[in-house]
Amino acid sequence: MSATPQLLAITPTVLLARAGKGLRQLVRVTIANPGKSKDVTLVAEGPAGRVEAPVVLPARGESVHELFLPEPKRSCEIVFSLRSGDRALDRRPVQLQPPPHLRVHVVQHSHHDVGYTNLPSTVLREHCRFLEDAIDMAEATAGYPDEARFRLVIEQAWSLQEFVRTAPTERVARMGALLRAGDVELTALFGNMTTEICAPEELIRALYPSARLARRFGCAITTAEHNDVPGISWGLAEVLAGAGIRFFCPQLPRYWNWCDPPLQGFWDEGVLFPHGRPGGFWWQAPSGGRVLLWDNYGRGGGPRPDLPDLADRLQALVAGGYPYTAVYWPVRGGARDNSPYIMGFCDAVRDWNDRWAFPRLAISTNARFFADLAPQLPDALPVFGGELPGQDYPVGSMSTAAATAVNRGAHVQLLVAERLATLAAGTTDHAYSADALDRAYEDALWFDEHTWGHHFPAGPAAEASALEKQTHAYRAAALAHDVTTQALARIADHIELPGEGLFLIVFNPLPHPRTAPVVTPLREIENCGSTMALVRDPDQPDAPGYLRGMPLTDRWHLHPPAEIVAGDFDLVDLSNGDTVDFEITDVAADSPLPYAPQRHGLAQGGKRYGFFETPSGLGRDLRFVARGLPACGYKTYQLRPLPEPRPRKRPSRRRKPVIENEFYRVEADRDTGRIISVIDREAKRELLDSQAPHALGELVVRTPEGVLDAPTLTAAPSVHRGAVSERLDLSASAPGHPHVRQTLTLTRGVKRLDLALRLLKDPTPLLDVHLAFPFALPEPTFRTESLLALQTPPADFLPGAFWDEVAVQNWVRMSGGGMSVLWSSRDAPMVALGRLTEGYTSPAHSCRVPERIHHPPGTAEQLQHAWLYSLLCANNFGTNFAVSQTGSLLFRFSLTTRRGEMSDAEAVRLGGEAVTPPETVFTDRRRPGHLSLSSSLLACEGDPLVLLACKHAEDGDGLIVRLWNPLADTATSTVSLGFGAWPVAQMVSLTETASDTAGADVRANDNRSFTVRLAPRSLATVRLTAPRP
Amino acid sequence: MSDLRAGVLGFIASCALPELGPGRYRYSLACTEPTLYSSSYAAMARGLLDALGDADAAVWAAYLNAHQDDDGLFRDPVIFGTGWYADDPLWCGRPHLTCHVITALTALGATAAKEFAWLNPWRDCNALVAWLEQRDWGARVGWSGNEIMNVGTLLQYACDFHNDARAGAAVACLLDWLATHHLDPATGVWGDVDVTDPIWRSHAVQAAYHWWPLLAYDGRPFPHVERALDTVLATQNPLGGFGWGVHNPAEPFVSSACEDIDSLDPLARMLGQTTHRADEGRAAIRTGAQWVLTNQTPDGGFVFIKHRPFEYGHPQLRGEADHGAMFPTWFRLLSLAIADTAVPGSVPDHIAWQFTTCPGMQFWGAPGVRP
Repeated sequence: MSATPQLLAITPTVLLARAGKGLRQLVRVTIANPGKSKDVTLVAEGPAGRVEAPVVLPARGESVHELFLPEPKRSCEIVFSLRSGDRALDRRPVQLQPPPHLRVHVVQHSHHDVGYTNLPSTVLREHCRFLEDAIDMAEATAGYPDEARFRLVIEQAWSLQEFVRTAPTERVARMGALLRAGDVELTALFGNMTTEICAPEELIRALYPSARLARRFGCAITTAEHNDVPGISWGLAEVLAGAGIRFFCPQLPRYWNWCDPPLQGFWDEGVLFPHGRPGGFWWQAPSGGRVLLWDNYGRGGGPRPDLPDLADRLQALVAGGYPYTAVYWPVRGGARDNSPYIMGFCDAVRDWNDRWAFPRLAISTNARFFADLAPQLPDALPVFGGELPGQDYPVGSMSTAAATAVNRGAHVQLLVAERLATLAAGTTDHAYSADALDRAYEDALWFDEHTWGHHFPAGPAAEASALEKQTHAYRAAALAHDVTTQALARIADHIELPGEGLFLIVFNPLPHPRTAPVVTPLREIENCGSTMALVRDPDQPDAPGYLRGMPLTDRWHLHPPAEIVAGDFDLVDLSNGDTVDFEITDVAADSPLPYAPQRHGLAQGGKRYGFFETPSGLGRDLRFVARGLPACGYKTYQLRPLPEPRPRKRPSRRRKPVIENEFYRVEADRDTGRIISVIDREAKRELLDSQAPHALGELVVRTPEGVLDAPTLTAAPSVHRGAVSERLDLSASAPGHPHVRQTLTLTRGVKRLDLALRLLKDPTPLLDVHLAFPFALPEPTFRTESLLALQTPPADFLPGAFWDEVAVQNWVRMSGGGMSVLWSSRDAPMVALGRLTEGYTSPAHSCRVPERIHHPPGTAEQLQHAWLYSLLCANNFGTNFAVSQTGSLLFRFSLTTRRGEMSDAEAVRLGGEAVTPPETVFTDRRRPGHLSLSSSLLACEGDPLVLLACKHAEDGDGLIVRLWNPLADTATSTVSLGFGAWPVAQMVSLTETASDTAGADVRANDNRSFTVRLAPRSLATVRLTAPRP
Repeated sequence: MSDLRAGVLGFIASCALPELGPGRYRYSLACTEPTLYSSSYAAMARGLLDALGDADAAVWAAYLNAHQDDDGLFRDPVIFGTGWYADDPLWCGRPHLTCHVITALTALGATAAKEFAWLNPWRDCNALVAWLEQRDWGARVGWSGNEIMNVGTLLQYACDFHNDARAGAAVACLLDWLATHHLDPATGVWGDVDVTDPIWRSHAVQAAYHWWPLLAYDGRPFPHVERALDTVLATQNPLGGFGWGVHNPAEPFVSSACEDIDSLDPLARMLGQTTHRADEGRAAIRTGAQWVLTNQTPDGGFVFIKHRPFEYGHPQLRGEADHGAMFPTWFRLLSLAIADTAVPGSVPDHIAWQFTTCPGMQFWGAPGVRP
């Protein structure tokens, strides 16, 4: 081996220092010296001249030496040599490239978890304090060079909203100034949402808090974040594009790397990012709008304020082929979610820029980075549309299945409540319930936010966190019920009734006429609160009177008398005078009906408080079919008592466990309780797949290791046959589920099979539970209604995505062999398509990582069978989600079928009907009314559109009507309103701000209707106003 | 001082911009610039409440008169040509502003400095009738209401304050024509609209409100007054106001300041012309006044429509939701003054209302009747 020093490596860096008018690039030279320590001269010669530096080589070893060379403006050869006196010891030519002039955007966030690191209520207060401190830091660095001044991005709007609600006015004003100046950037979304389980209108409302704050403070919202949640509903692209957001930078953790060896990632990065990562692609919304989805791939500075390894990491980034000069460098002020904001990064940036010309560091924001990056994006940046079905968070939502079901129900009920409040305010003296609706939407958003619980899911903190979280769902539902009930009662009380008596008003919340089964308790469920109304003595009308709480504005709920509860009445449709068939059914404690245990219990009692009404009606349901309900309108039914009690029929009990109506015949095995046949009588066809491993409605319980025993029947199947419906009741038990009560219902004249399940769950941890729906459709095709997108799996998923469980909104449709089945779930959002899938919850969240997790993402091959498995519960979680849940759970499903291929339009209509039953309220003749006995208050005619919001405008100017065209064709529809005069119709943005004409146009036809034309798969938000002379 | 009076005066004072000179007012606390409308509302409202004693009336009137164009119309440079005021429309442009300024000047003891040359096209009866025939008597009858009132009021003013005899003849021509055209004897209101529909009835009454004062000022009886009273009474809604959704279709019964005064004012004037349904008329006025009072906000002012912001055609004429603004404060105060004068006790506070003798809206009786 030679004893002469050698040039081992020459490494040009990204570091450029200013030298006079030019720049010099730092080049690192690695030299091996096998001999004694010696003094040598390191020389570099190139087109720009010669640079020499004396260096001391340590004995017998390698050493690295830095040399500043003039910045090469183009590719050139530089000859490096080592000299000792006149003697050349070594020589090496190197081709140098012009170094990139990197601009590094140091963007400070605090990852927003509403909880997880502490109780949610405590975290809210912490974030307020962080924002307080941020104001002070911004002022403390006001004298710094502009690039080093304090800036931050508020990751989600909830923290700023809370700050604005609670901080002193003067501090709020100072925060407003920072927002206006762009030093504090507010992003678009309310929270890091579990988008897959959100409802369409709810996800749109996730933009409203930011929009309100932006209006208040005069700042712009141009970017969105979605952090910690490796799953994104395709509808989010629609919502963001519709709100004018161009830059979407979700920070997607690689949770499947959190094991050894790592598992396959959640999407195919090679396909999505052909130019490497960090990188982006245009995420195309279903309607064609686009946002830049930027995946920073974990690049960032972490919590250390001195940015210790920044140079090396930037060097690695460039060496890896990063093609842009704008670099996004997120940092956080501490090693914890919900970290504070700190000023240290400002000092680090100032000191760095004092030393280096490039990379140039700047304390920055998302908006500033995007402005820098956008001009550099290649024209050929890839475009992808589709969903990234989350396998962690939406699955984890079923770790608290009861609350998730309540919130899913609230999604639908909120649409109904808001619609009814608008219609009641438009037709009566009802005061629009803006505040209650706002609070209810906020609660629904809080619940669907990704933070499900405490990081350590056992102990008092976990329990308190769970209760704080779940309160949001229950409160959203309660407020929605409150608004619905009050508004509907107000409409009911303004109907011109034909005389004294008891009347039932049935309201159809959907904007098309329909016939629907009605199931209503014979004692109404009370709403949240009451209005303090002035009550006067009718005998002394001039006396002052007194205030009394009235749940329904100026009255109490009606409770039908005993003869009505007993069924001794005729039910008369007052729109045509027809007597309507009905039946009265008893509610048992385990009935798969809402609030069955409570209703059953209360119905057994005497008078409430000892002297109020006897609530026996709570234990009974009135069932009938309401025919020809007007679009977003109502019909009036009278309950006319009979002079004599109706002769009691003996209940018809068939021996064979079979139920049937005009459309279906359903049969169970008497011994096992398994559903063995569902025949479509129109198609003359068996619908069930006898070869499937599980029967219709069979509970499948798994541990991480495998499937447990099948349920066993605990009572003989029973059939109930009434004037309106036939019901098949099954009782069983299964591992971890001591009592399972299932009811299948067929209603006369209605082509629908309803399946409801009440599940008594014990606290056995780690289980996942599915309900099987196996159909016999050869070579089936699947279609789902996802959030603001009708999807064909797996084509509409992003490349490489896992989809063991997918979230659906109103329906899944399977077609094959000349038959279509439409399946709807009111309570459980997640479903496995085609088979009972392995599951792909990440090791980061799993409690025990099951062996079956080792599998590739699904392919179309998974869909060989028309089988569905609804995920009812999932508890194999080690953090954030619950490892155990217990209680009485309710799940409701509906099925309908068609010969041939059911169209998307029909699926959308039927799915909407399945999850949106009619609303009812009792009234009597209390005042002269002005509304007719039957009326449509809002209707969509023409091409089918989905009505989302129908509400008062945020700014008080008119009404907002939001419509969605889910179909692949342009749709034109006329919307008619049965109240007010609305001569002006105008398209506005999703957040009701700027006018917006993209994708839709609208014209007012007359005072009470407008026609809207929507591009395929797009949204339209229409503002209706009346000019005033 | 009564609560109502103190509250209103307090709100008006909060909108004053004394640093810019006497009579300078902004429209609401959300606005920044003084506007001529706001100055007029302040003078009219303070005049009604007999609270101009400490005002520098001469300087204030001079400020108003400084904004008169050569054609006699008043122009507010802040709003002219923008928003609703683009192209100076007849229904809400300078003629509309001028109708307010002349009342304000009268309250301040002054007169419009220049004569109204702008009225020339209407001084000729034939031309006036031809113009009337061209108005929209259908769906936009409400807009025609404002247009005809503006011309009629300024003709009356020209006659009585500028001694313009031709204008006086034109007024007579106008009132004669109104008594015989587009008027339905069965309803007592004008317009080719179906008044069985509550919304169109509201439109028709709102239009008629703008013409009945022209008749009242000149001491002419309202044609078919009993039927007109029936029609106006039918506009009262369950909340006591008079809206049915024309101005607030989202909550039709939460009526606007315009909807309310457009029924309250004629009801009050009709009580002096007929005994038909007089008890009902008085009760309706009392109830209506109670409703109007609920539109007062904690700042002492009034809102145009409860819980809703309202922009009067320009950002400098904007009132935020549930905050007082000058136009509704004056207009609702005027409706209370008229109600309380017609049916004493309609307003709980005892206020000595001071009407003007100027044509337009803020007069009582028939000041245009010459002895």
